[in-house]
Amino acid sequence: MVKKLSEWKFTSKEFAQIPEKFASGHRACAGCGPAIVLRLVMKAARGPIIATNATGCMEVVSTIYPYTSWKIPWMHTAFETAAANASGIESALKILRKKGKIKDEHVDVVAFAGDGGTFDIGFQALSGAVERGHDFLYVLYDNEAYMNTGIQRSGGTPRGAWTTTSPAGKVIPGKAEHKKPIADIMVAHEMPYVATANIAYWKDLVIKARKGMEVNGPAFLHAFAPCPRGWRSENEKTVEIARLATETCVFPLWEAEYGEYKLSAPSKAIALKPERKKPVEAYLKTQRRFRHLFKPENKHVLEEIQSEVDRRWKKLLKACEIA
Amino acid sequence: MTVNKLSLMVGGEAGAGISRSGFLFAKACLRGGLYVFGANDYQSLIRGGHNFYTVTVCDQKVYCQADKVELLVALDKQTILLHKDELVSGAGVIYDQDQITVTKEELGRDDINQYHVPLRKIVKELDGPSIMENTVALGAANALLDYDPEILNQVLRDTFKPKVAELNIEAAKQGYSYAKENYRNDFEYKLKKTGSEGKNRIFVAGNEAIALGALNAGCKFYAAYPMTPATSILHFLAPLDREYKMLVIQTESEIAAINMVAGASYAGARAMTATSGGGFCLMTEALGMIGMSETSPVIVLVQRPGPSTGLPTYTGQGDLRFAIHASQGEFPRVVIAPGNVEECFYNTVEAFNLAEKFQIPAIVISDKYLAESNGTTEPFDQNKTRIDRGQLVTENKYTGKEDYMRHKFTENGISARALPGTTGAIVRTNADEHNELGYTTEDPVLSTKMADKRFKKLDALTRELEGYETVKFYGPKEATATVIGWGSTKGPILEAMNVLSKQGVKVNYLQILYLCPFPVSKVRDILQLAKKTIVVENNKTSQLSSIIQEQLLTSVDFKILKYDGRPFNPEALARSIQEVL
Repeated sequence: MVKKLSEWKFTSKEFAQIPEKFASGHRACAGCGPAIVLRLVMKAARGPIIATNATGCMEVVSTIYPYTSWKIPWMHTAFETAAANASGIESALKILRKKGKIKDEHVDVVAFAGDGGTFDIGFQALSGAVERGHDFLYVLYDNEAYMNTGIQRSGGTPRGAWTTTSPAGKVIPGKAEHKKPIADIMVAHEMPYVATANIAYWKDLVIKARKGMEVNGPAFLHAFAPCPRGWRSENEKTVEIARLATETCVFPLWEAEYGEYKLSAPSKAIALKPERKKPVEAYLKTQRRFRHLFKPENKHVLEEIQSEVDRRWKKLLKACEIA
Repeated sequence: MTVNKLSLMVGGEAGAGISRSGFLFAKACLRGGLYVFGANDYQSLIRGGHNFYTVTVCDQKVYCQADKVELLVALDKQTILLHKDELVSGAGVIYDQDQITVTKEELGRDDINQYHVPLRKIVKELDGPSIMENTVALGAANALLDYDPEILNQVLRDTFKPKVAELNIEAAKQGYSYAKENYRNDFEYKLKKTGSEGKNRIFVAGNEAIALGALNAGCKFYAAYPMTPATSILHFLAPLDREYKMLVIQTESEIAAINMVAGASYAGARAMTATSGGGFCLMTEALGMIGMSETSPVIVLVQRPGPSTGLPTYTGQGDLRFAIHASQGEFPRVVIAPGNVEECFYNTVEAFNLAEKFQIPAIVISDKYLAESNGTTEPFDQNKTRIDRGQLVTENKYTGKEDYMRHKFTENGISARALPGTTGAIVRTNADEHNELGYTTEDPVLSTKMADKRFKKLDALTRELEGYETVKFYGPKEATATVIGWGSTKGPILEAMNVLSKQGVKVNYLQILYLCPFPVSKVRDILQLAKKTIVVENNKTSQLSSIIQEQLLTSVDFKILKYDGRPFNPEALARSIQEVL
């Protein structure tokens, strides 16, 4: 599959024939969204690939002796350091190539981190790596909380969600703050490529991952990935729930090259036919982490969530120059 | 027949409710007036792998888990294969033979009673979730042990919502009757509830005791970042914030957590953070800033084996030197190592008082074993604690003739604290070297004087600590050897002493609670009488031995070290002590 994306006649059959680089049989929960992200992104690689992986679910489940899912060079690093670690790998490859010590065409360097390792503790390293312009793809698999340490809220947890550190009780209905617009913050770095993706639209995700690898310089992929355990949702509904996030505009799909926003097909369809936009309840009611919001006394929170989703959607349409 | 002395283990896959069911059984024992120790062993996995919870029960005080198991509740086959050698002769194994087949060869011994209970079938008939299999097994365990089933029922009622509780009670009942009907009442081990004197005892884990200590000390601000095994403090405090009029904040990193806590302390609130080794690494820069600015937060360091991610869900004592020396430059601090849940509570209160009185960072150092194991203790006594906020400019107005000086030179190095906002006082402090007013200085004379001022507080602190229980001594004065330890090794050492004394071997035990400043004279007095000294520690390089060497200029005779992530077991430890003697 070592050809340019532009030459890649993308068919499901062809894609299925690409050997898996992230093997099945890992210890992720049934219905795990992030594991789907990893599998798809790894399949999008042009050829040789090196991955660095911040502490998080995907590191915890994928390399427990005597098994590993990784069929490629892989380094597990501390929580806050995936982007810095990737910077080092990419710089070393560059200098080795310059000195003639390696003679490869290209090696894709990919950093994987969850929302805790990206929105919160890893943000400084990410911002720095992008500013320095390292040629790598940063993949954020966003399941909206710290799931492997017991479901604590992160900067990526949405308003109203229950977590162990944003409990839903009589007085406070879950997390009080809205989700940090991390992808927009990355766009503000004026970097070559930023995109949001969703496991429910796998083709779109794969193409974006591949674009991110091909682009010269840093790329950021924000992949939406439900977690049945932390979201208190049904295992078999992961993809359905993910799709609803985009259909309700809770998680719209777009890409931005050097700051120029462009809506991706699933969200563009809604932009063109606004009546297709579903109310946020359709998405929220699929997950028991939002269960308390449907009590009469919390109606205002639902309204607030809807109005924030609407506001951000409008802002996005404006950025995409769709009136 | 052996009554009220046994160890029960529940084992199975992660996600099967192992620790919950072990905990419920432990609570049922506690309610029967018995002493209980509950230890949780789990892997850093989301699902799968092997988890087990050990409940050690006795009508005498019990300080830690036992080496051997009398009754094993196996929810998967792996549990039997992994733990068969820990079973005593005549032990029982409860498992579902519809799900698990263990051949004679696999078991490899014929002195074990196998009790089949159709866990899955019973749960299916009740139309309950599969996780309830463990409740059926607990019911069966009650039957074998001849223990009053109503106590467990009450625990279930107190734990679950009414509907779930009733379903679980029914499950336990079915397990109970199945075992009663199918097995003769000949299991060697029995449990019997005792008199009412144990009724008030509580069953808490180290982390909960630290959180309770903080609440008792008037902690008004807690900021932390999730990290095993410190996270349960955050979980414990998060839902209590309104009730205790405090703020509990989950930050974006440990750097943010400790700096928030430093800010809160500067502003006048009692403040605490907790983390494990990796997070403490990120906190080190701020720790020095706290030393320099003379603010007074409490930092809880719950150790796990390192370096780096290490063994995230296991225990170790490898961070003692790190806690004592962390951050650049030199400044006084206090490092306290509680050894059981009771000490977790009282030492945390002391940490708050010492931090504010001497305006230094106070570090409470524990580990996974202490943090997550549950012990039986008398209720914590608030009358035994006091709050000492040190020298404060208490009036709302500062009336001194000169400008308020946050770092004023004094006899003992302690400058009275004014809180920002006090009329007439501008509270300036500084991470740079500074003068008494808090202005930056690079003057050599002033710099020396200011460093000396900070270390005068160390002298004052050392004097103050003479009146504290900085060390504890257990066992006969005259003994063949003195065991020295710190932190969570306390339980295993005390149990090992019991084992040894039954064999006629007399050892005593010096527990060092205050590691910094080191209680030199108290330790020296005890060690002078020691015939032989043995340091017991959960680390590779015996950090306590090196501190004793450094402080007392004497070497210890023997070191017993364990650094596999697991705590000492008492009988094994007793054997190791025998071997070196």
